[in-house]
Amino acid sequence: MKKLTLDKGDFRIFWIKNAVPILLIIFAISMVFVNRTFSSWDNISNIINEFAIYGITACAMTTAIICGEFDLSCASVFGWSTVLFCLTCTAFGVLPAFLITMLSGVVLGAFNGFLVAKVRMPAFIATLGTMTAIKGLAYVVTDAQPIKTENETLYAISKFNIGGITIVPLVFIVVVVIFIWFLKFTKFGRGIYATGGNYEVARLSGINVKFYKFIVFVLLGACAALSGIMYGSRIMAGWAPYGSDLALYCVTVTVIGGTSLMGGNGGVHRTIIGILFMGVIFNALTLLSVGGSMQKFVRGIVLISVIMFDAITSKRHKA
Amino acid sequence: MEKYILEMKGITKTFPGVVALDDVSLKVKSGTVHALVGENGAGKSTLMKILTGVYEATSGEIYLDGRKLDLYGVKDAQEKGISIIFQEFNLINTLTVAENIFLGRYNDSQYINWKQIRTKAHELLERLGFNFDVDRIVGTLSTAEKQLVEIAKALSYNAKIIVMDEPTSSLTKKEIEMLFPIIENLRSNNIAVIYISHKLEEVFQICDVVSILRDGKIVGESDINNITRNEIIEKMVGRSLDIEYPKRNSVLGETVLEVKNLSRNTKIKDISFALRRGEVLGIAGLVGAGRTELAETIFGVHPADGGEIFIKGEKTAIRSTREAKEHSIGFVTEDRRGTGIVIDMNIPKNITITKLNAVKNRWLLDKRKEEAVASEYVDKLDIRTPSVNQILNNLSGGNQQKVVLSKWLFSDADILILDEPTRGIDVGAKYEIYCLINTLVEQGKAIIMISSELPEVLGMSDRILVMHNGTIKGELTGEDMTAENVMQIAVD
Repeated sequence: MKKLTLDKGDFRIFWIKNAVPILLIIFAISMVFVNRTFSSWDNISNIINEFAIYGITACAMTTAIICGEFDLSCASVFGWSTVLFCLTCTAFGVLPAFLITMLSGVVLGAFNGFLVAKVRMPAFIATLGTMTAIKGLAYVVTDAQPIKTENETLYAISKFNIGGITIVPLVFIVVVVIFIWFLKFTKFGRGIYATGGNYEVARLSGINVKFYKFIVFVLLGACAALSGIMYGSRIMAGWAPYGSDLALYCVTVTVIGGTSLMGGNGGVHRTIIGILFMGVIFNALTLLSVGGSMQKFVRGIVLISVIMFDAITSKRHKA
Repeated sequence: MEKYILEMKGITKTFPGVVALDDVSLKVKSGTVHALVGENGAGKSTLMKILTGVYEATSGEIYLDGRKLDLYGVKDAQEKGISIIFQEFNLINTLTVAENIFLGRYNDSQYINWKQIRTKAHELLERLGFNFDVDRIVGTLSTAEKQLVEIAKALSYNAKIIVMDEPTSSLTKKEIEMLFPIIENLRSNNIAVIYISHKLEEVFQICDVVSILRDGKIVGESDINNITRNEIIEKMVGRSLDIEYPKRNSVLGETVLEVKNLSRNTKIKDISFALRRGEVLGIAGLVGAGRTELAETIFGVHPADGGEIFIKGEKTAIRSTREAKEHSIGFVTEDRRGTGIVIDMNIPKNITITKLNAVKNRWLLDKRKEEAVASEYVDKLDIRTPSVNQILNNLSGGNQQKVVLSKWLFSDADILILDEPTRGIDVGAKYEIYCLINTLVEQGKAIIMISSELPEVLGMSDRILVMHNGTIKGELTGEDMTAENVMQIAVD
């Protein structure tokens, strides 16, 4: 077979590979002209503070998807964590509340991991069950009411900012760096890619596939709890329905970024693009006074389009 | 001028960056069996995918019975009289034979006339010379029977051309003997069969004409009577192959693996044997005799539930693949794409997967070390690839297999279990794999080779165990290692 010089096909591949960032740039530039508020620092810092919260969980979701799994229950873990954090914050103070909530996230994640890796339940069913159960638990504990906390230390922390940027984006950046680092450069990361790329090959190569299937759920639980804590501390309240759209959001930004739902490829660095994309689009919709219900509709359509795109361009369907 | 049922003229197909077919012309007559041979990557499947409407040719034309054809997908090709039977069947295992044959076109009206469909299905199978219960669930059929259903399905479309892609690759010898009369039958029904195969004996046995593809071009076409086996091989590989099985000078060393009374539920029963350094132990037997199951038990894929395994004299219980690896066993599986390689990963990642600790600094994987490891094996095993960082999907079957071997060599395996190591790879690459096996045993490795190709087991092994029904039914050494003896034991 001969190798040809650059032809039309290569350009097509370039466009398909980079469609999202290109669209993002075009869109952002045009928004600058359409709406003056868009490029104001207030608005930009708002976008950053906003997406960082969900972004933390999105990193873990990407990792799970690379490993060939996914988790519906992270939305409920998020809601439950806002509740638990606010309750414990009032009772024991910020640091114990943080630790307890993180621990609960890890335990819930480990339970999902146990169901999938050990009991061999399909992730969809297992996390559909835990999603409902955890949400129910949060409702029971709070009697379906929002919980407030008036802890002053927490108030101070949540109001702390440098030029409008709160502590949340910093946490987000740390999480992102850790994820990218682990996935790309460590044995641990390679295990996740191999397990998601071809479970049987990984197993026959002596890789502890069950451990990886398990650990991605633990990471998801922990990250969903961390996101919940960030959210709870920002509004000083917890409520079961908070973060209901988290799972959907995480899958959307992962796929927009270019991580295939088939597992085995992609990466957290790509998800950042997805997060920026969704952040900018929905901020723009808000600025253009598109209502919340309409935005929900758009969100669903975006997800479907992106997955359709993924299915069409994914070479593996043909192979 | 003789009339051709099929003429493909000047077919060229390019993929981004690659010319897969370059001005290929193929003419096939009705009532002939036309062999299409060539190394993997020569363009056989691409050509057949164009013929069956899977791909669209970049340029060139197809004529069926003198009329120009435009194909819009497999279904369209089928309806126009061109059917293909792939290695993996397109059958629904949970439906019956009759339902599968007429799947998707039961009736014109809203209601399905099952009685009529069953009669029609029965007739089709009878035409092929089989009296068959059309209500059997396809999942319960043997591979050969499924193939029969596929052929009946092609007939039901009034196929004028049936393409068979490696039809015997998963059949036993007995089943192959069943298939050939069916092909004869198709021939006498004036159907053209395009027969793709790596097995040249079969080509000589069943085909009338042979076309040879190399690097996307037709390099030869001949009546089967006017060409020799060696001429075909020469054309396929572009060089001559004198000896099929290379000689080796290995010295048998100490026993590295000993298995005593090994059992796993009903799959394998009471297996005992020993394997020495420098030895190639062949395992022969029919499909379903328990050969792969034995390999999987030793490697801990499905651990044994009875018996003992001794490695280098030490009793060991192998409960998982990880433990097998730690005891320096490597396992090259029969299903390369499914269980051998991660197809979307590059060469370094596929090789280092078995021993990531060796390419790690304190915390991080070292990409340069991984590439160095990969380069080393690319050189040593002569893996042909444009670059070390190539994705496995872009390599040919033979080169993929070398990557699988590399990963076990990298893990320092002393005992290698090779299950069908040359399945689906071309003649040239097969020879290289044989040489590689020889080099390895000369270095003191011990190899268990499972193969359904009898000449290969006979040509490569020092000793042969013949399995039947989950047990070792016989052991052959030296002069006794003949095809007749193996088959005698294998078939009861």
